[in-house]
Amino acid sequence: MTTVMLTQIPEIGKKLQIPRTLHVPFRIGRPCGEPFDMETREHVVKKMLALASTPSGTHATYVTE
Amino acid sequence: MLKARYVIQSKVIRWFSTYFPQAYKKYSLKAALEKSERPESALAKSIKEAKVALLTSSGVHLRSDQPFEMESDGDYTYRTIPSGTSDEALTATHLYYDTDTAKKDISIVFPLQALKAIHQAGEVGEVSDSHIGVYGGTIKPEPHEQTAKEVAQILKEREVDVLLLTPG
Repeated sequence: MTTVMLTQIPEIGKKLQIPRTLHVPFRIGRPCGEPFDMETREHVVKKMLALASTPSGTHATYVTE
Repeated sequence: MLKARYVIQSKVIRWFSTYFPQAYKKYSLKAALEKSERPESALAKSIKEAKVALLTSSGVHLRSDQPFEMESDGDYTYRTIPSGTSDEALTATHLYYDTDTAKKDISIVFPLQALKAIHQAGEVGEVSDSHIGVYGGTIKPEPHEQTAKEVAQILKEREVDVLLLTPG
């Protein structure tokens, strides 16, 4: 099973040897963006899905669109 | 009703994470269990053919479920969330982040409707019929290892190819 983790702490991917992470710039407690911003929600999930096809050890940063 | 000690603890940590996010992140990183080996996995199919599930450590569960225990070292159990669940049927139990906002829009921690919309648009093969909620506000990371094995077994039985993990 392939995993992709959303994180607000980029260093955690290396410390925990997490295969794939997406570092998001949002506030603590709002890892998928601000309330009722469904457009951002879909962007975040799409970025995570895209990472699923990358090699283990890939750590990406979410860029606000 | 939470004991006063936990209410105060929760308010202090939420305040700390809001006004000193970098220090809060540093503390969280220090508490994380260091691993020496990285699991190697590769998706053997395209995402348009894959079955996808969500797992959140933000304490999300059905309103009708037993809430996570917060007045202890933590709750290491898990909750299953059927795919057909509406956001209104979900809530979040967690001591260490702003659940008031998450309760207004649960998708900020658990983007199930977004995943289903992406599937409807034909960009994902299948959405798993169930998803997982756990409680990340625990003192010790080790007991989660057993929970992880149980959850992995459930997801394996459902033939999940991709698991998306979201924090609180």
